[in-house]
Amino acid sequence: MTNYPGRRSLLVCWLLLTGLTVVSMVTAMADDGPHGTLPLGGAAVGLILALMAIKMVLILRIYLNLRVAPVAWRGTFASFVAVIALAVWAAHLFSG
Amino acid sequence: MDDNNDWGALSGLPGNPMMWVLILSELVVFGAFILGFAGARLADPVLFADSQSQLDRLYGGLNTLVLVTSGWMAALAVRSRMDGQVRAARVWLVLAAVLGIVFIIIKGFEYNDKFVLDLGMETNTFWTLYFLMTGFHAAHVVLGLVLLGVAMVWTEVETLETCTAFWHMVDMIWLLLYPVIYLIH
Repeated sequence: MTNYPGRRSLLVCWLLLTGLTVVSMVTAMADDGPHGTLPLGGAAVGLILALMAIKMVLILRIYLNLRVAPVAWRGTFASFVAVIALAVWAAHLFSG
Repeated sequence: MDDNNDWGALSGLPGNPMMWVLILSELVVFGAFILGFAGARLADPVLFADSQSQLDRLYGGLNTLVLVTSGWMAALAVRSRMDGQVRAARVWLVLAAVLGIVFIIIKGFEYNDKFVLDLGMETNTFWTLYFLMTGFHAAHVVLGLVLLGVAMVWTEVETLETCTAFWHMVDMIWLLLYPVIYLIH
């Protein structure tokens, strides 16, 4: 694997993954805790899904080193992640 | 990788092209699971909200932190091996595997909590999908642990890259499952 990321990049990636996970958890549990049923607003769900997408792209780009791949591949994977996130968000918005 | 030149468009991807075929395939399979789950929730949001309230978002979050930390250690194993540090690479792989085992143990506690409440695959659509998706993912974790073990024994750079790429895929799939199954309500 060419140009595999250095230790500093790997550390920053892990810190981001950890931090974004905590933000997702706090967003989901802010109103009603770990077992709550109070529906989340569309913005909160959008944020959680955006963080999910960012984390997946981070793993693809850094841990799997996709950053050295041609732009078409990077775009394909990023689009896949975006489509999943948007579809889940749309389903949530429709379910009210 | 020099021998990537015969793989057409896949030649542009870093590492073993076959592993990327697997990663693409698995993402499509779990992506379909996720869309199916979102569709089923759309059909019966009350049932899904009530069922989901019996999951513990902290359990799932803890497992997410465990798995992303394990992925970081697997990546450090590759970095160390590329720097010529075979012993350090093995240590990172062992630590990554230990956290993988921790993930399985936490998942086991979580499943046990559900079985005690008499919740299973046949309880309702939510639990069918929950056990299918998380169980299928857990099976991937077990296979990933085997591959990390392979990389501990055969420490060629390409072997480490390929085996840890599978582990990162397992990590990534969990990042897809956790918010949709546990967090969004």
